Amino acid sequence: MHISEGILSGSMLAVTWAGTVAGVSYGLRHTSSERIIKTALASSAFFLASLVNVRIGPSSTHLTLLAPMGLILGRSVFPAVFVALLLQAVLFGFGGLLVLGANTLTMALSSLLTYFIFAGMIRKSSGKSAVIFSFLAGAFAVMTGALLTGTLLGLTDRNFLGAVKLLLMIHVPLSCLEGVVTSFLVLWLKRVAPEFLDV
Amino acid sequence: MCKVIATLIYALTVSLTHSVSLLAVESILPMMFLLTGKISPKSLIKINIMNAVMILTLSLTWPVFSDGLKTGAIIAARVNMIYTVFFVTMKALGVSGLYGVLLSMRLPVKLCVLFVLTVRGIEILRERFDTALISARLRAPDVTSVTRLKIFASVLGTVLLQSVIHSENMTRAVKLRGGFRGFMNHAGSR
Repeated sequence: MHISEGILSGSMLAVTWAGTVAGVSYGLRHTSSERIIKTALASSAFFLASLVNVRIGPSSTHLTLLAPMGLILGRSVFPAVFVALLLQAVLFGFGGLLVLGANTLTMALSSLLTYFIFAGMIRKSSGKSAVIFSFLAGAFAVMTGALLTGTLLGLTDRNFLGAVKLLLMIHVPLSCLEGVVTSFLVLWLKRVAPEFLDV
Repeated sequence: MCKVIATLIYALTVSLTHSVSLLAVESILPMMFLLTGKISPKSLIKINIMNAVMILTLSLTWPVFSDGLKTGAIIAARVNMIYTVFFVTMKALGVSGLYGVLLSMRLPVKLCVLFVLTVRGIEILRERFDTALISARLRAPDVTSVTRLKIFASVLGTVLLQSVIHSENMTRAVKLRGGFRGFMNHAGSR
């Protein structure tokens, strides 16, 4: 889902950086000093989890974990995603510094939207309905992220629209996979540590 | 700080260049880095595999095949150039250098603390994460894909729980150093 350097136009880079600055300051304003430490460590856990190669049938994939991040970090997700992507760019060369704004905006915004739409429903539900809501949250986060990425590409150059359609199609199975992982994680947290979902 | 600003200006210039001849001029710097061995050509293999996929996708989905091919090739050249310069800068800077840059940019203290503690958290939790995954693999080597996802989710849940324990210790450490400002001064002096 990372947009690499050299693709987006200058105006898109400027707009996405402005959106990211606004999102990060919103996140920091809603994160108390006590909570910033918990956010940092949860962010580290997600960073490590996203590097794990999960074998699915004959192939393997890295999970984005956008929905679990949104559900657990809540409004603090923007600064957490910003730092995680900065580290990914520095340590592994994924994405880049110039497109850090665009990548943060697409991923953090989809996590934040997932939090606003699904967190309350998941908190109040139990059993099968919790599984369904978490699955939908996982799938929604990935598809929203892909849609936002596609929108940025489409606004840069209309000729990218063919590639955007392909991008969205590829993300459909991935969104199902993320939905399953989110369901398992939510069920586990509801049993063992429900306070994680009370953000 | 100057190195990072120069890298960003270079990346922005390359990103906004559409002319092939201008790109050729701008490629002098990354070529120099490659020739002087500051970056190994091997480290470019991974991004060029991605570039090949991108060129193929663009040429097949662009209204005109040759235009898609040309656009893909220009983007691939930009990616290689920016990545090379970025890699050399970051290699020289390191994570601690980047932390210094963040401090000198006068970013909010909370964001700097978040950066420092995330890096620290990765170091702390990496070993626990790896151990949990290895032990899960040893206990159940042959499982279905769904069970594997279930195991992955419970390992992530366990690591999240451990992160809370560590965060309580860190909160105490930050308070003992005089809050965030004292903690940042201490981290900066190390």
